[in-house]
Amino acid sequence: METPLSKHRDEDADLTARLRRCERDAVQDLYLRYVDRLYSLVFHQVGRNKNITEDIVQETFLAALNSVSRYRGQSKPFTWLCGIAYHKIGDFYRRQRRGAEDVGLRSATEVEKIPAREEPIVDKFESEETKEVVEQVLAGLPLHYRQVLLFKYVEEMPVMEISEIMRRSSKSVEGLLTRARKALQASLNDSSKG
Amino acid sequence: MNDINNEESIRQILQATYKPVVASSTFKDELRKQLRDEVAAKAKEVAIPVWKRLRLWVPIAVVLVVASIGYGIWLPLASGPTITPPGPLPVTPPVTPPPIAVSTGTLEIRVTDAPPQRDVREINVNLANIEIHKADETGGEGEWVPLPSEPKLFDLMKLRESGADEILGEWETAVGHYTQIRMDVEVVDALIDGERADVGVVLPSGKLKIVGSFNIEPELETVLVLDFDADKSLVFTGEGKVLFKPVVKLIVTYED
Repeated sequence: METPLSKHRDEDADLTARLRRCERDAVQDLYLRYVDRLYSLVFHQVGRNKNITEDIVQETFLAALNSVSRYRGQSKPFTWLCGIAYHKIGDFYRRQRRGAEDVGLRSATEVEKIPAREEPIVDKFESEETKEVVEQVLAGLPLHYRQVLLFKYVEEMPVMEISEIMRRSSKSVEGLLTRARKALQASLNDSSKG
Repeated sequence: MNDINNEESIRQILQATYKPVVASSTFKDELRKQLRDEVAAKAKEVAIPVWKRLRLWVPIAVVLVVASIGYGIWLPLASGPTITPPGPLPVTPPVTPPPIAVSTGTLEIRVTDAPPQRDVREINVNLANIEIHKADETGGEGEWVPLPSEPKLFDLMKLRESGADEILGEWETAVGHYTQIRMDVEVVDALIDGERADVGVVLPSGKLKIVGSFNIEPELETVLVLDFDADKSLVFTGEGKVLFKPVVKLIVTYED
């Protein structure tokens, strides 16, 4: 019996095969299938800025179209797309830094200096009122922390896929995840104190 | 009570905060149209035979027209005035000038971005024997620290196209201040104008040396990006040779 998951896998396999054959119109199908998911993922990585998100999503699909001949089918189509978007976001922040205009970035070292608190705090963040605080805390995390947390806990990607996107070893991704969780915990504890 | 140390709690917090959002329909329509146009343009590019490619023939036609006009002006001047022998003047009937017809034609002037001098599709570079220079804190000469690795092949054009960084390697190295990187560079080949070409490497000391200051600190990941400028690195000589003179920028970032 065909389940939604098996249908999704079949469609992905078909898309992979067409991309491997350098069929450029497969990028249009890739677009139809993943534009919303990619948009959402980029949106949260760039501080919920609509204009920046649109620029990056547009650049990502055009880059995918131009580099379709280089797609080897070693990663899933969406992972491949996320990898392109990840580098476009990196480029964007590098340009921002050069322009001395930092968009919600702060040093990870600074984040980790925040003292941790022992008491459980999750319940505090379940109301709408405090959701804004959580958003601010997340926006204050270093970009690569936010990204790895998004990939792991929102997109629910396995470490192997994250390592393909971030071009890091699995070991490095696991280390990054540990540090990101620690920084998130410290920041949340700190904000609940204040 | 949940605990933030619990992965499930982190998942709940993040999923509650990072709710899915969708792009506006205007943006999606525009992007879909742009992609469709790009796909059509690329398909057309492949399908048009050489003799039908306007971008190729129009400049050639312009050059030929300009050359023929120039030749037409130059020829009478070069050959000098024509002398006809004296004789009886011919009697010609009076000529009625034809009515002047005011007609117009269409002139279209276009400006296009000239294609690059050469069509470079691949520059395959092999990097090996990487070493970093550790400064001596007491003011001495310091030392070269080898970073053991297998030679690794990169296609610089692919890196440029994807905008991605390719990892050369990761090493655990002694903490300290470093001032240089050096490595062997071997260009395997390049794909230029559709043909494989041998490329000679031009390096004064036989090694690529990049001067740049960086630190290696405990609990911190130092990331060095060697940003090759593929356009400036490839040199076409008058003798038809292709040389690779690496132009590299070092970008240092720290991640923890």
